[in-house]
Amino acid sequence: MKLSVPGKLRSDPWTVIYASAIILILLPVVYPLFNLFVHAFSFILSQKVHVFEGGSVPGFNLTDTLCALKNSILISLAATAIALLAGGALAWLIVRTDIPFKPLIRRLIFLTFCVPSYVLSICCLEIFGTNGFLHNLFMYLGAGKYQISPYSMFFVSLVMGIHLYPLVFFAVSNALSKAGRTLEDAAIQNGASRPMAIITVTMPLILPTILSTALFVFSRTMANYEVPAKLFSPLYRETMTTRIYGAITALDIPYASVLSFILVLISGLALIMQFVLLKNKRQIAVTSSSGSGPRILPLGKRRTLVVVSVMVFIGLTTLVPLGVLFISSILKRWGMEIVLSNFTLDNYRNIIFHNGTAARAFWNSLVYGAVSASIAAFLAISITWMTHYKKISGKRIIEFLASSPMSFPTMVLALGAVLAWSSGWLVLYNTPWIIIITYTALFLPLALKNISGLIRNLDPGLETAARVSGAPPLRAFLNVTLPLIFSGVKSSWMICLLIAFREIPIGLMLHTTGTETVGVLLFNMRSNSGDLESTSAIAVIVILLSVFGSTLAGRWRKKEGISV
Amino acid sequence: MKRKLFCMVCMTFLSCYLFAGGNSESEPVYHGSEGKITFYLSGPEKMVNEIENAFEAKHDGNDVLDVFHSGCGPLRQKVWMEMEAGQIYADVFFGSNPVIFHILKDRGVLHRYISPQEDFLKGEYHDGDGYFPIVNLRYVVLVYHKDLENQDMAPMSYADLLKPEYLGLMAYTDPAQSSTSFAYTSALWELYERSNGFFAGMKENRVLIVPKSKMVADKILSGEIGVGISPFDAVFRGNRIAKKTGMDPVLAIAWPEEGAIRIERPIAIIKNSARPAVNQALAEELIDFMLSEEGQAITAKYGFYPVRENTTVPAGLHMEVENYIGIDWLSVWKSEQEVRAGFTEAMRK
Repeated sequence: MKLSVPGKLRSDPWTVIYASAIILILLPVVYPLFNLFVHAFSFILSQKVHVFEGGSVPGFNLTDTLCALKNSILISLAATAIALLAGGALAWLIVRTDIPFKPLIRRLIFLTFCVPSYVLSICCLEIFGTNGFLHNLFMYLGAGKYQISPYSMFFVSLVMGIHLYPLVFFAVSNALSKAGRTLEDAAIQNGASRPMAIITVTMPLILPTILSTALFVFSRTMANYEVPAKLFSPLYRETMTTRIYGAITALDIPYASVLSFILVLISGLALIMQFVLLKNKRQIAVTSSSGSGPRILPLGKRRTLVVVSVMVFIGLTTLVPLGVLFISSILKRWGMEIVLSNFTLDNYRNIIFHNGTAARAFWNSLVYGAVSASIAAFLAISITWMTHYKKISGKRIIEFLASSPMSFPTMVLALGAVLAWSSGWLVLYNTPWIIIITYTALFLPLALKNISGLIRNLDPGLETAARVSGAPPLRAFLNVTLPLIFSGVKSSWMICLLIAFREIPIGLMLHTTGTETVGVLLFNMRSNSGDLESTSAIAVIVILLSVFGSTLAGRWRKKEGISV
Repeated sequence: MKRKLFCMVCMTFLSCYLFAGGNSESEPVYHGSEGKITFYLSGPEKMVNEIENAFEAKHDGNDVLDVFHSGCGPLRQKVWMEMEAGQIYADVFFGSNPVIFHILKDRGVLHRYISPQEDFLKGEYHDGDGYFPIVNLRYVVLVYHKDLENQDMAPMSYADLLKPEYLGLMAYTDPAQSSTSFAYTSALWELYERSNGFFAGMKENRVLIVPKSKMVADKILSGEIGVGISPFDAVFRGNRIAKKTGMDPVLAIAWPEEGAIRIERPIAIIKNSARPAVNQALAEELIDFMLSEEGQAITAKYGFYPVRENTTVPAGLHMEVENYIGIDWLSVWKSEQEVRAGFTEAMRK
C-alpha cells in the first residue's frame, strides 16, 4: 500500500525536502562532472586531428596513454584474480567446511579490510625494500645477494589483491550461506556426486555474486592511485591514475580531463555490468532461500594442513605487515637496527601532542567526514523515502545520478571539483567546503545503497497507520520509520566517516593551509620528508580508528539484522 | 509526463553548461581578509615556520600570514590550476623555479614591485625588472653514501653515474613531478648536447625514479640506494637530521667536475586589483623581508645560498660556488616539451 496521495507530489514537507535533495545532488555530483566533461570534450574537439595522428599535441601521447591503460588493465586483472582466489577459497573454507578457529579467521580478515591500500604499500616497501626487513634477514642468514624489488607490477597487483580480497570473502561467504543445502541435497538424492552437485548447483547460484564482486574489485583497482604511485611510478611506468596525476602536475588540465573521461567510461561499464549481474542474483536468491544453512563438509586428514596454510596466508598478508608497520612506528629512525635501545614512543608523542598539522589533519578528517556523511545520509534518506513511497517522475534518473560517483575514481571527482568550484557563481576552492562537497559526492552512493536497503525492507503499513492516526507526513516518518532504521543509518554514517580517514586523492588535490586531512598527512609525510617512522605511526593510529569504527558499525548493523 | 521529464533533464544540463561556461570571465575578487595575506611557498617545514614567525614578530605577533606550504612541483601545479580556473589565490608566491614565474609574467598576472632591499643584493641579482626578484639559490650536486668512498666508488662527475658499477644503486627525481628536477634535467639536457643520452644511460643503470628531489638524499640516508643527484640543501639538512636522531651522517657530497647546476628561487606578488591597500603593503613588506639580512639568514640556515652580500651562513655552506652551470630559463621554457618528451622516451626504453 502506498502512502500519501498517490500519483503526484503535493505541497507537503517532503516535496520541499525532495526538491532540496535534488538540488543537493546536482551540486556535488552533476555540476563538477559536467565541468570535467566540458573540458574533456573541448580539448578533444579542438585537437581531434592531432589526437588521431597519435600524439603530436604536446603532452598527449596516444602510445603512452594506451600503455598506461594496458598497465592498469593488467594490474586490475591480476589483483582481481588474487582477490578472487584468496577471498573465494577462504569463504568456502569458512562457510562450507569444518575448519577450526572460524571466528578468529573472520576477525583477522576483517583486520586486513581495515588497512588502507596506501599503508599496505608502505608495509610492502618496509618488508621487501633493499633496506627492508627481508633484506636484513637475508644478510643475517648470509643467504646471498638480495635481488627482490618491491617496485614492480607484480607487487602493485599483490598489494591491491590483498587489500581487496576481504570484499570477495564477505560477499562470497554471504552468498554461500544464503545458498542453503536444499538444492544441493536434491541433486545428490538424484544421483549426483557431491563435487558434481557443488559444480552444477551451488556454483551457478553464487556465480553472479562472484562476478559482480570481481567487477567491483577490478574497477576499484583501476581507480586506485596511491599504490601504483608508490610501487610502480619509481620504474617510470604509468597507470591511468598516475598518468592523470602526471598530466595535472605537468599543468595539462584538459588532457587530465580526457584521461579522466576514459577512466570513467571503463569504470561505468564495470558498474553497469555489476548491476545487471546483481539483478540476476536476486532472482536466484529468492528461489534458494528456503531450507537450512549450507551443509558442512569435513576436511578429514587434511584439516591440520589446511588450517596451517590459512594461518600462514593470513599471517603473511595481515600480521606480518601490521607487525612491521608497528615496529617502524616505534623506531627512532627508519633504517636503524632493530634493538630495544632504538625504540621510542616519540613518534606517537610528536603526532599527538607536538605536531600541530597532524592534530589538525585528524580533526579536519573527523569534521569533514562527519558533515559529509550527515549530508549524504540525509540525501539518501530523502531520495529513498520519496522514490519508495511516492509515485514521481524522474525517480530513476535521480537514483542513477546519486549512485553514479560509485563508478568514478576519487581523483576524477577531485579534478571535477577543482574545475567547478574554483571560480564562477560559487567559489569553494581553498575552503573546507570543497572537500566536504566532494566527500558528499563520494559517500552518497554508499549511503544510498545501505539506506535504501533498510527502507525497502520496511512495511509501508507502519507509516500509513501513523498517518491514519493523524500524524503529518514528517512526524510519521520521524516517529515511526526513522527509529526503525536509525541503527543502520548510524552504521552507514560511520563507514563513510572511516573512508574520510583513509581517502587520499581528494584531500591531496583540494586541501589548502588549515584544511589538510589524514590522507594528505600520510601521503605528504612520506613523500616530502621520507619520515617513514612517523608515517607508520599515523598509519597505526588510522588502523586502530578503523578497527574501532568498523566494529561499532558492525554492531549497529547487527541490530538492524543486516549481515556484514 | 515524459515531456516534463525530458524538459527537466534538458534544463539541468543547460544550467550546468551555463554555469560551467561562466567560469572563464569573472571580475577579480579578493578572497582573503583585510590585514592578512596568503603566502604560497615551498621549502622545509621548519624554515617555513621560522619565516612565518619572524615576519609576524615584526607585526607585533599578529596573524598577518596565511601560509600554504608544499613541494615545489605541487605548488607550481596549484598556482597553475588556480590561474586556469580564473584566479590565483596567493598574494605572494615563492619557490619552484623561474620558468613558472616567466609564464606568470607573460600572462600578466604578476605585480611589479622593486624592493629597496635589492640594492644590497649581489651584482647579478639587483638588476631585476621587479616582477620576480631572486631570494636564494639551490646548487644541484652529486650525493652518495659514505660507504662508497671505502669502496673507491665515489662519483666525481655526472658522467660517472653512467658507469656500470652504479647499476641498481641510483635514484633520480621525476622532472614531471618536481619543478626542481625539471630545472636540472633541462640543464643536463643542454650539457649533453640537447639529447637524452645521459638519461638513457641512467635508465640502463636501472635508476629508481622518485617524486621529490629531497627523497634522493632520504633514500641514501636510509640505505635504500647509494648515489644520486640532489639539491645541496637537501643533503645539508639530511645530515643534520641524521646527527640529531643519533644516526651516522652518511651523506657525502661531490661537487661535479662539470659544475654544480644553479637554480634560482624567485618570489613574486600576484596582481589583484581588488586587494585591499593594507594587504598590498603587507605583500611588499614580505618581499622586503625575504630579501633582508634576517630573511636571507633564515633560508641560509636550511642550506639555501643567499643572494645578499655579507649574509651570515652556517658552517658547511660555501659562500661562493665558482664552478657552476647556469640555466637560461627562457630557453628552458621554450624547450620544456622537448625535454619532457626526451626524458620520457629515455625512461620508457
